[in-house]
Amino acid sequence: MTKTSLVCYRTWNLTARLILAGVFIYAGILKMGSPLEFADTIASYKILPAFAINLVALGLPPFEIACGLLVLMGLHLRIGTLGMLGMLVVFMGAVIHALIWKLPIDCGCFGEHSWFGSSLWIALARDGVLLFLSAFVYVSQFEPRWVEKQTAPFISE
Amino acid sequence: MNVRARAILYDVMMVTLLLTGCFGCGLLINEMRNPSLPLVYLTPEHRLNDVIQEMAASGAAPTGSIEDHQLAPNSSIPIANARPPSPVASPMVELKPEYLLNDVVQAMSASSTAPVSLEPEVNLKEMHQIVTDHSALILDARPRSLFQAGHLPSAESLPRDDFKRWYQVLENQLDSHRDKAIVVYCSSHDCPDSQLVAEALRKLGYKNLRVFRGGWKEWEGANFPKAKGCGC
Repeated sequence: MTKTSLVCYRTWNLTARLILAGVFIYAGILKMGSPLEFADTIASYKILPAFAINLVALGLPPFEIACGLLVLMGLHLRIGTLGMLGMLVVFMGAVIHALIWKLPIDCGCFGEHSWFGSSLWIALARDGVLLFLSAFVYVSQFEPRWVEKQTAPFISE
Repeated sequence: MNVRARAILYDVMMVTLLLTGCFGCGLLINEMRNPSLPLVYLTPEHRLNDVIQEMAASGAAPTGSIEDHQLAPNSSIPIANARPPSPVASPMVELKPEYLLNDVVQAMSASSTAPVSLEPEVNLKEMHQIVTDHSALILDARPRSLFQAGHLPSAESLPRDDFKRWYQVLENQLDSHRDKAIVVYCSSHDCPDSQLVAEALRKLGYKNLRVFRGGWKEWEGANFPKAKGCGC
């Protein structure tokens, strides 16, 4: 890796990590503060049975925060980003399900009544961007050369 | 198995472990909460119904019993919880048409995602008139945080998710409107909270209830005057 591409790679990686960590920690804290509202949001997707809704509403926010902290601190980065990847795949599946069945709901991604409440299409696009970022960070842990190749067009020697 | 596949497998196992730990933490934190979230989910309708039953049992419902107020004034539609004596207990009892309609409405509301309105509705123009004239008590059924961020002028907060607490705060004011008009609203056409709160109030003996279905979204969209803060 050349010096410039290494700087570029590190900048991209750090930016992606900060965005991912910020979003997941913020979302986790909001949901953790109002588990009942989060449970109502999960129920509105009509995917999970009643016995699993509250369990997910209680367990998912700490997982979001834990993954966010791992990615922020750079500790066990692969585990943190893989956790995020898994969550984002599940979130996108839920949003697509709601879109297919035309459920009249907001995504509830940042708690039911937060200022980030948005339509399902915006939520899907946002999840797509986050999925790309987390995949980028995860793969970059294995393949620094792949990242170097991807970021090459943006490097001005 | 090559090194990379083994690394991915290790990551998956560690993520599973982390997930299990986080679920354990979540349950532990929940145990420390007051009140804690029950492990089995109850719908908002069930929760509100439980609160109303509890209030009725403890004597918080000031006058009349729940069964005294089954039909909405100025409306031919019975409310969802106005049920006849159990047909199992007395199989020879013939169900009245309004009860059959009631069952149909309940079935519709159970199968449809959009809330079914069972209270007389108020449109935007009428709502604007009510606000201007101060001719009714206006109640905001949205969560308290949204009420504080912006609400209809002279509206009071009676959030669906914390009904008992705010009902007690507003009790005197509500009592003075027992036979006068009360209008309830929430976020938009899609939210069921206004309907749920109106039904809860009807069960507690309030008679002249209306629902502004367009809610805050319609009011805000029309650029009508707004108020902010808690109003306390």
